Amino acid sequence: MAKSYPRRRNFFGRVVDRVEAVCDVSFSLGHGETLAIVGESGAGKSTVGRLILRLIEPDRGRIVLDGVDLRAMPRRALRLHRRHMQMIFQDPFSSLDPRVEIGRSVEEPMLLHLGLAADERRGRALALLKRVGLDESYARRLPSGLSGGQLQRVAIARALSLNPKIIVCDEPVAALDVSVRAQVLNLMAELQEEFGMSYLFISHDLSIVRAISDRVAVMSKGRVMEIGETEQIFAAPKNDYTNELIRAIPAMAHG
Amino acid sequence: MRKAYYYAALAVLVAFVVLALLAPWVAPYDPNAQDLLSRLKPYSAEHWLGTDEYGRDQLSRLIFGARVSLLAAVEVVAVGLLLGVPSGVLAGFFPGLIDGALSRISDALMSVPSLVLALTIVAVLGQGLGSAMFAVGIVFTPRFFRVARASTYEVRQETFIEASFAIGCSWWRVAWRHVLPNAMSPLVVQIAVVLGAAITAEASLSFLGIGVQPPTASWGGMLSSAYQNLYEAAYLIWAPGIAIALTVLAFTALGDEARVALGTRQPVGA
Repeated sequence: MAKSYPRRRNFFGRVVDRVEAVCDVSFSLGHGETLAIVGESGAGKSTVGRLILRLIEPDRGRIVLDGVDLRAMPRRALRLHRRHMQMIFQDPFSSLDPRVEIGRSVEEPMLLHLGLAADERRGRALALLKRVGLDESYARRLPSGLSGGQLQRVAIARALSLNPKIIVCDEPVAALDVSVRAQVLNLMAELQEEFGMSYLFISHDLSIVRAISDRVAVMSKGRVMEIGETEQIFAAPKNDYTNELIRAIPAMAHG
Repeated sequence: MRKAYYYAALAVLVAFVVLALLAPWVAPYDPNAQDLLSRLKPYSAEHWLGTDEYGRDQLSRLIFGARVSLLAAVEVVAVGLLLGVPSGVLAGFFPGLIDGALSRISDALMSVPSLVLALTIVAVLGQGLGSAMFAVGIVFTPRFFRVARASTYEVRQETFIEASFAIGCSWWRVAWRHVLPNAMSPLVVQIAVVLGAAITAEASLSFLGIGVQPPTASWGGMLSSAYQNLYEAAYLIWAPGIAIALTVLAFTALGDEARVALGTRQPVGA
């Protein structure tokens, strides 16, 4: 899979130079597995996450979900297929429509994909909110009335509402206070046990990655440098860049 | 101080709207009833604002004229919104070819002097207030287009828009349900400003004789006939002139207030 962006165009608008944002990235993700993608900022982690969901169109390559090639899929079909793949974004404060009540935001995916009666949808949304630790009173509030941690819980409930096969988590706790990070991560781990979806967990924080992921892919400058079992990578990194990243973890984080 | 100005503006507009709605009941005379024996009379107890060259009661014509002028302003805004907002959202949503094409059309419209453009459109559609105001609506369409385009473009960058696509919304749903509601506030300001400008435009076109057709009363038409009798009855220009000026000022004040009120809103999502 690859994606490049025009860096410079000539006088006639023809592209003369391109940035290789993501280059020859290839990996697989098993059912119920958590694969972390780590790397410094600008390494192409988030781009990979978005390419997988076809939120950006790849230049070439294949994205296969349970034997179905998403890249070959026409737009309409892709839209319906989105129920199987959801995303949680980095910035909880801007990932929900500020004018839509929390409850309605959680209902929206179900409204789009499941032919449910309004009250059943509402019931499910409330149950999901409860599952992520928010009682009914939150359903009527606007996003501006919630904290970052609460908003991220809402985003998780929303992503879960269609019981997807995979959730791409783009730095889901990076914008949160350290005190609520662990709560959100624990919740995500619990929900994975319960619902059995896979996580593609994008992060630059290796201490978090070590705690949550089964396997790790290390990215740098648009390429995957190394991929393997989490413990193996941390114990014996084969790649210089990985080594460098691991050494950059503050010692305290090992706790 | 600014608040007082705003409330005064609101009061003026509410007063005019109420007068316009209740015109048949509050107007002392039939606005079109001629009385040639008492033509061009100055202010008096029977005719508070005097009478025009056909002896028609100016106050009654002013009240009925408010109906025409306000309705015309609403028509202008409706046409501008209907044409400008969907195209603006489309352009803001799809930068590139669609935006390029729509923006060029808008620029072309803006480059033509508005009154000339309106005159041309009226020439094609035929005289009458309806087509005149439709023409003015087209003249103001680029304003709505530009505002809608710019704020759509801005909202389009927000994460929640990407999130909407990620859960499987069609672009139509994203534009209608998520972009437009969040892009509305600058449009509200624009609506107030254009309402004021439309009152002036109606007055100008009626003054030139291509808006309201006689004997229907409108503020611009009244101004026009007052102008023709300027030497005999100079007082006639005051009432319609002040009514137009007050309404335009009031709409502008309202627009300013909306700008301030909406400008200090919290950034999206915070």
